[in-house]
Amino acid sequence: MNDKFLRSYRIAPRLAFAQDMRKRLEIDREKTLRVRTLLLRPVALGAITLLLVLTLTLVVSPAARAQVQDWVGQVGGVLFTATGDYPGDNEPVTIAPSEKMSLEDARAILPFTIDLPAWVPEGYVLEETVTFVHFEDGVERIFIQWRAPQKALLELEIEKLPPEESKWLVGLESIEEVLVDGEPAALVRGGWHADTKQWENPEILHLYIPHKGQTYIFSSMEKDISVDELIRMAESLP
Amino acid sequence: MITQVEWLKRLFGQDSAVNWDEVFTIEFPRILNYFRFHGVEDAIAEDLTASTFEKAWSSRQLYRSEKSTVSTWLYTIAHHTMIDHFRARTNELPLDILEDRPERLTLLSPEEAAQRSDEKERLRRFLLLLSERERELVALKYGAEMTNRAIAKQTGLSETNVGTILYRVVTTLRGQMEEEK
Repeated sequence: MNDKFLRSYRIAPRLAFAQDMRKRLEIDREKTLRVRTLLLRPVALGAITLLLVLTLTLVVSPAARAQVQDWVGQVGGVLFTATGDYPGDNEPVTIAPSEKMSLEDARAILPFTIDLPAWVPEGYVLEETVTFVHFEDGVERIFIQWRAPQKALLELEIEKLPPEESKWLVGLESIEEVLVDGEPAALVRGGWHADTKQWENPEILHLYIPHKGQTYIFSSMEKDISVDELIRMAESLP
Repeated sequence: MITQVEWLKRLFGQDSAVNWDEVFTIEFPRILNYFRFHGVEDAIAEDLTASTFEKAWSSRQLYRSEKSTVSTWLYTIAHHTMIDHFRARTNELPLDILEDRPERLTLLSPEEAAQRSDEKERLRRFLLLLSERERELVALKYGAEMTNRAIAKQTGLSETNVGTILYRVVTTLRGQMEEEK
């Protein structure tokens, strides 16, 4: 197909435009995106579908039953499905609407109980704004972050749903039970990776705890924040 | 080329997460051309490109790798930005297009005709005459430099369908361009 006339329509961005954009986005300063790429999210319908398929498979196939090791259950009151099947396949790409606001505004406007830990690891400073996200499946969450120079992001995610209703799809053998204030809580290591479609990077820690009828999830990287420190943060919630 | 392991290690780490610098370097020219292949003028394409990256940057914490690759996510934002742009111009766009139809070029002054007969400008106007879906496919193929497979994944069309539509559109555009020479 002779499409040279179309290919020749392409242009390179003006240098000044590209430089201006970099400056506006502060890419050169930040260089990286501290995205929550591997953080977990509940896949309510997906999880239900998965369970249905899994159940049928297990009923009709003893061989599959022997191979599949999915697990569904509560740890620390939080409902998890642990699976080896990547949950992101065949789902349309969507952008969840979000809104940034001050913590004060979030507390005043949003129907959340937003409590912050009295203790955070040394050097971490609370970000001025929080992000409110409304996902397509009706799930609403707030993301609150602390940053420290040269250290991994520390994040608190508040899920409006109570722990027993909030379903989390995680990798096999990624959950362990820990104690927070003497009560069981769930520590999850790792996250799904879109390219490998595997549960990877156990360095990423997520501590799930029920708090005042909601689910609080503290997350960070183990190289900078230990499990004990995450627990200490959780225990310092009012 | 960054490996997946390296990419993973950048997550949350102080020496990076997603390499936004790399994403910008690769995708910035592609997004700009994606808009240009939608038939918008260069200045507007720059505005829309800037808007896309600003939206992506400000909401980067919402990017979910388990849902899509960074580029898929970016083009979803770009696509919505494009729709918003044309929606805002709904009332004026048809008139613009009609006014600027190539067959009317002969009615223009010699200076205007000479200016507008510029091949790239003519192609831009032919692009505007395509249907929205055709333009989107051309923009993803030639602006964003996606493969037919990637376009299929992005748009929800089958790969065969993408190839067929693109073949037809390119043939039509080439015919129109040659006819005007």
